[in-house]
Amino acid sequence: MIEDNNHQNFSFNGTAGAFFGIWIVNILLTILTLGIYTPWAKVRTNRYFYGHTNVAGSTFDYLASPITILKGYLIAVAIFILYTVVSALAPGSEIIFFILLMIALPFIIVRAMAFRLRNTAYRNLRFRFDRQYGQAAWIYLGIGILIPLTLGLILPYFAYRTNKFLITNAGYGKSRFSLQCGAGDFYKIYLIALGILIGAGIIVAVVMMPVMKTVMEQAAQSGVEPDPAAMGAAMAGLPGLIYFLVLLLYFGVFIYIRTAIANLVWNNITLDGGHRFESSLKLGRMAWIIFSNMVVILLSLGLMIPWARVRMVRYRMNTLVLIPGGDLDTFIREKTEEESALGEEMGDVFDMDIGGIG
Amino acid sequence: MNVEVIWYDGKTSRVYEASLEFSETGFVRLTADNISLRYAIDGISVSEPVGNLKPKIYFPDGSNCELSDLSPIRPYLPKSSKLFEFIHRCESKFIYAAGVAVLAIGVFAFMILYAVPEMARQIANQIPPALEQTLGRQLLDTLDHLVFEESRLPPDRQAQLSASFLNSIDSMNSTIEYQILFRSSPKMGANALALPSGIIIFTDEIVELAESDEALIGVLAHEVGHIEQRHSIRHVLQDSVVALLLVTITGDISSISSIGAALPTLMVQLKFSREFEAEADDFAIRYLKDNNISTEPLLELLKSLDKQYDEEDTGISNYFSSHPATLERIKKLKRR
Repeated sequence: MIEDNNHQNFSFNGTAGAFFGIWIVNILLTILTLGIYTPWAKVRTNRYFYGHTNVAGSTFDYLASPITILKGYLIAVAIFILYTVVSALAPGSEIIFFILLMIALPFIIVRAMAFRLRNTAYRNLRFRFDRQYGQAAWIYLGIGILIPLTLGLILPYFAYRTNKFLITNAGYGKSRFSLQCGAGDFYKIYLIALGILIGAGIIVAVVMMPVMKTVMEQAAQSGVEPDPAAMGAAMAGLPGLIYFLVLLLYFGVFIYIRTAIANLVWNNITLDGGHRFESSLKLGRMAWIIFSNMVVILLSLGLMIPWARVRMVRYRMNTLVLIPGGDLDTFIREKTEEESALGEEMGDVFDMDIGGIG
Repeated sequence: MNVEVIWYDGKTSRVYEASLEFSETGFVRLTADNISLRYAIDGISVSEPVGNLKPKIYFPDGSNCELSDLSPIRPYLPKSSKLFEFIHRCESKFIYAAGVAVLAIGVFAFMILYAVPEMARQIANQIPPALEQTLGRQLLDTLDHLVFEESRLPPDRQAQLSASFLNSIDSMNSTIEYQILFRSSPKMGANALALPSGIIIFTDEIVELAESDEALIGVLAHEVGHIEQRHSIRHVLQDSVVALLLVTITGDISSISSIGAALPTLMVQLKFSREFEAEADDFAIRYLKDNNISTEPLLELLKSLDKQYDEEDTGISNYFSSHPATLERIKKLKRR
């Protein structure tokens, strides 16, 4: 059987071809049923991805019932339609919706996590998430509101608290997860990100300025009367280029933060019994996958979405390792009650990134 | 009939190598290590097939097992749903999936090109006038707040234009009560807008740009075209439905790649906008022609509105524009 004290690599053995079939049938049925099929589509997609995610010889299982999801989905869609119509017809009312959504946010996050984890099983044992609404409200609203007030200085601390909240309230069977790293580790990541931004700014200033100066001087020395139209066009193109570079830079820094936090968090999660994880995502590879996925999706008018998703998940799993602290056969069940799907669907429709540690 | 399975007891994370033995009498016996269990076949359920996922059998006590091939024991198992078996065949056979892809693209195109606009037209006709008035007034308040300033046109010029505009509208046999307003808008420049419930706004800038009042009558007819055909409400409805449609389809991709979905949404919404503009142009042309007014002044105004106007300039940028290409609009005006 399995040697428990060895490193256990995660792996994903789904294929883009097989997932394409599931995905395209989901889309067709979703359109034909005017969206009613969405919960079934979601369950089939998740079952495919969970069922092909492997560690220590066993796969994961997604157990949610489509009917449960449908109920939450209908409510969420009603709210979304109300939001789009009202905000389009009465400009300004978005703010009221936004405030209401913010107030509901902690509730939605907790419900979504609880629903998702309770319906995730490994070796027929479910995960779980404790419903700590008070804690969620304090972190997401209380600390969240301080981010603009402190000019973002508290952002790394916020990232630390949200990750810690999501992990320490999660469990597998009776066993609990915990997070070993501190706020300082998150500050380090954001400081490096800031350093990259400042460094890039200095490079632009140091390199670009003399280049532009030389060009101007050469133009003056050559004695040719500069064509104002050509000059204008060149100058107009320049801000476009700089804008593009700045966008690329922000994109890169964003991916850096995501990658670094994913590695940091996974490397510091422990599960009762001394089980640990090791995540070794590489920044360059992540950036390449995300960027090329985007280009391929655009060029294929979306038809390559399944390929892009499988590619991302496969890399994600190939870089994740479970380091068992002991026997993996001895986790035991904890009784839990039914969970409504409302929270998770709300998050889906409003396109929020719940979880963050995917 | 005997099969080897991996069994999970549902109480611990232990992995059992087990065997299932199906009997003709409606029972199944599970044997693992020193455990031996007996289940009624009526009480067990089989996972719906998804892709090439290994099938699972769920037992009433919460335990389940995984096996590599269901076919030898299928005669013993409860009947699975015909519908989901068909769905699974479509998913996993290449030729079916390809057929589904073609069908999906066709249905999608039908929705966007025909079903959604038609639905919006039907709904727009049902909107009560009172609601439209509220909407129009609210929009006007917002615009007054954000982009408009009080008109600087002399009051008698305003009165003269209003009177001439309302005269023209009278000849259009409309049942809608129109209201003509003038506003100055350095932010917007030369422009005219139609709001729900018959509010038409001319900016000072467009009044000044027009070389004759006849050109402004052309603009007026264009805006009346928007209002008579309830474009603003249809526009809002169509945009919302398309956004919802695309969110539903791409909703499961991670937030960073949904940029890939935002672009098609925008392009579809701009296409709607161009169609509405073309419809309003048609309305204006018909009105001018019926009343023997020359389209030349409107044509000249369009040319001066589009300062970068260039006979050669049509191409990909058309797909990212909220109005039809000026060249096309002018060609249409010239044809009459």
